[in-house]
Amino acid sequence: MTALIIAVSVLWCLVVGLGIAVFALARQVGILFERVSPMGALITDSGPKVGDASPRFELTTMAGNSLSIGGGASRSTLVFFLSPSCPVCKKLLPALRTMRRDESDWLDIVLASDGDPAQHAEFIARNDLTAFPYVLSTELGMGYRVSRLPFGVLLDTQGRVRAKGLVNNREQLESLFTAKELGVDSIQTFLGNMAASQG
Amino acid sequence: MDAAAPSLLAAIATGLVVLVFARALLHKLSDLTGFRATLAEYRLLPQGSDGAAAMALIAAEGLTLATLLLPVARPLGHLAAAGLLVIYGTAMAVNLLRGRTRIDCGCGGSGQALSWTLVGRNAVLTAATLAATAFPVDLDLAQATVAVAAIASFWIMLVLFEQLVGNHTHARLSGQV
Repeated sequence: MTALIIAVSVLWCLVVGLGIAVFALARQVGILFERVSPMGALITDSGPKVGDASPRFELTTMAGNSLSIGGGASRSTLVFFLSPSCPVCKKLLPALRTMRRDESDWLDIVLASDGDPAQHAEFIARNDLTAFPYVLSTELGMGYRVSRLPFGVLLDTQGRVRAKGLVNNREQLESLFTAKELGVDSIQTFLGNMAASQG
Repeated sequence: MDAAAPSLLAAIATGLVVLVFARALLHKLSDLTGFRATLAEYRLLPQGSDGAAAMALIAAEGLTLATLLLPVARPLGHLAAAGLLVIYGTAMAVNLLRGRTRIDCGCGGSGQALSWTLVGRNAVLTAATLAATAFPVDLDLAQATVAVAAIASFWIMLVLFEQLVGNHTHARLSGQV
């Protein structure tokens, strides 16, 4: 009888232990998925699709410089839509600042918003965003059909939309760049090739 | 020995539902802004009411949790839990039928998009919590130990199942962007 109790107890401990281990593995796989494929929690189906050419915008930044978006450039462009009143946007500001430094050889980051310039000037000053080109443009937001924030649109050097979507955390922001790192023309092609080779 | 079985099963079901709701409540409380945003994206409530709705749901879950933990009120707690699970499952089903498959489910745990599997999970939990109302929970120490071990095992399995569903949903949706 005692042997039976011990046996059941040992088995149960093993089962629980294995359950935890398998869960940890599944979690790691989930994190890999997040990094590999860009999936903002909400992707609007409207606006220029991934792979389409972006509409062209000729804008003026808050600092008074002219800025052209969508016409092709020497580096890829991340247009990051935010708002001073959006708490998730504020959470991502440190990541954006780091990215501006670390990815500057291939990427320009543009901050985009809309509304009262004075409010935005204060926002820029308070959050140390003066290094970023910062545009206020209703037509930019409407051109990409941005309805929720924070929203990112990644354009390549030919001005095509490479990735877009709602960005809720740093991992999703980084996953927007993974296509470039993998050297494929799009994550979709990469995933499609993977699926095809597995039959 | 056999007479204890329904009581034991009821205890396991109760424990599992308590953990599910405790996690859900913690998830909502730890990121209230995110929860309100998730609620708003379900697009089932009048514009601007997501703040009040969020508070109402948090209160409802807190009350459910409290009644589940009080032995005298446990059957009421199960009914409340079943009610909430049905409401959430229906909300998910409505949006899945609308084709809005890319919104966050807001279920707690790591975020994942909606899927019919989650609706099925809610159905199974609803059945379990309703079945538990039928039996009183009255355990001795040995049975209680077994119950705790079983609850822990089922909890790990549930969390693992949800993680796998989330991975599958992510892979499926990524191929369609």
